[in-house]
Amino acid sequence: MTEELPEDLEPGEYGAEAPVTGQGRMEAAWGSSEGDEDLSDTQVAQPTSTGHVFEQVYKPWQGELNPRWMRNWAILRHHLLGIFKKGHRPWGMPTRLFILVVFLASLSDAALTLLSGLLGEASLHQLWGVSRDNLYGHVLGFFPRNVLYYPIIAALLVGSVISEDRQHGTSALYFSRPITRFDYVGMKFLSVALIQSIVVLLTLTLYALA
Amino acid sequence: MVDELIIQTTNLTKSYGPHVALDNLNLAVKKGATGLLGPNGAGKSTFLKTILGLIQATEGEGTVLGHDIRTEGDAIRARIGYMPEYDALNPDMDAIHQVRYSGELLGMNPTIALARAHESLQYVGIGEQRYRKIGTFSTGMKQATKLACALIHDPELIIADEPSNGLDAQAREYMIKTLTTTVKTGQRSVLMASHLMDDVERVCENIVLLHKGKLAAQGAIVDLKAIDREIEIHVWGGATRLAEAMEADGLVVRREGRVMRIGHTGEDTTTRILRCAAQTGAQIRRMHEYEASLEDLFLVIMENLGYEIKTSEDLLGSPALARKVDAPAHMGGGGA
Repeated sequence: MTEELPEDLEPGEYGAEAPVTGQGRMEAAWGSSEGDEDLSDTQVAQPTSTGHVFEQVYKPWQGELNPRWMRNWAILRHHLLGIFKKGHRPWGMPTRLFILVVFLASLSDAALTLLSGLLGEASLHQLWGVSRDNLYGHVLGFFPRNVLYYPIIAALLVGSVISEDRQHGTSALYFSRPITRFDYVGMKFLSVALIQSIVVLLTLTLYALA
Repeated sequence: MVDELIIQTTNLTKSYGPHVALDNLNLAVKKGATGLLGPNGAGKSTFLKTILGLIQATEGEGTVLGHDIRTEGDAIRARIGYMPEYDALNPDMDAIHQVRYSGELLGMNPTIALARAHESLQYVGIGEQRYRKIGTFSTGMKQATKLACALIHDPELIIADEPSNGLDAQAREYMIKTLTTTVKTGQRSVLMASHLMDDVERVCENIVLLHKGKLAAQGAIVDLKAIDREIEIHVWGGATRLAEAMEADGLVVRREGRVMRIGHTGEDTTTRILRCAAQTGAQIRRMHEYEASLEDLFLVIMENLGYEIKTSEDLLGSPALARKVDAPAHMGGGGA
């Protein structure tokens, strides 16, 4: 079926070739104009949004990479801060809780000494504090933490420090970086040693000072 | 410069004991996108490890981005981005921190690494999901995160091992688009190992084909496709007569009923086909050039080379060694 064009209109003036946006009808129905528009006006397509809110653009980076010590520091920091902060090596919650408990337990001698001093209660000091009278307290205090707690901490820390990288396959990604096996293992060892040092040496120092 | 070589090897050989994984490999990979193809056991992974400087070549030499693969592994790994094939992410870490840490391992300042991690993850389409734990990610998101790890320091060469493996159609499309954008817009080079020929064809201009540790083919896909160029015709009546006439004329004909594919031998191939049809009275109702896909090309080359997995002889370098290992101990061998 073909429609006859009005005589005063040239073919194409209806805008059949122009993209239909629907804007004209909406204007006529809801617009603020008087409605006397020239219907033969061609509706010109407006630039429309494609609906994409994200445009993929490759952004180059001109920065410089730091030398070996910075890479080693990254491994050390990643493991060390993982005990305290999110965003670094995710140590398991049981490991972190156990370290906290042992740390607090290791401070019990010094804490009881401090408490007895504050309260002026000598019996409290004799029972658990740092004194020559509480051999029982010493045995209960030193033996568990030196012989039981610390080895368990060592096992918890060391047990997964390299095997997890193998298990998750992350070693493939990490070794595609310019790090050597020696640095990788060395920094992991150092980070575990430092975490243990905080628990062992810090509490022993406080004990000695108490 | 387009023709600049980014990877070059001369007589590169890698043996694991008596097993020869790479056998006198002479490669020249140009800047741009290159597909690394080959059946299982062809030596693709060994080749990638060797050029990364992770394992030492037994013989031969090579350079990647101008660095010697034997002595400058660290320098090479600082300038390339590697996307491993299998899971290589810690499932208990957020994507953003995993990518940041992989940047720090390159020697990036932590603050800069974090900023670049945001950019890289945005680029690969992870968006706001970057704060989620990787363990909750889909396969496509994990692949994208691995690519972000590879891109964090804006490397000159990205080595992607099976980047579209296990992805659904949408994720695969996005991965291909991302790699293509990296090559075309970012002007970076990509070495892409994949079994999905369609993906390689869409991303890469060149291919390197390995077979049993040896170089089977290398060059531009367009040039290599020319070896499998054919003209397809649909015949009505007298098909057998026409096929015989064309064969008599020296053309190579493959026939499936009324459809025939004739090997392209020169500019006059079409004329020769039409002449044969005129002589035999066969009607050619349709004629067009059949463009082989990369998969066709791969199969043709593999057919010529013998598409089987490595035998003991291939693995062990010599028949004598193979017999020795294969034979049980009581028969003088060392194997089971």
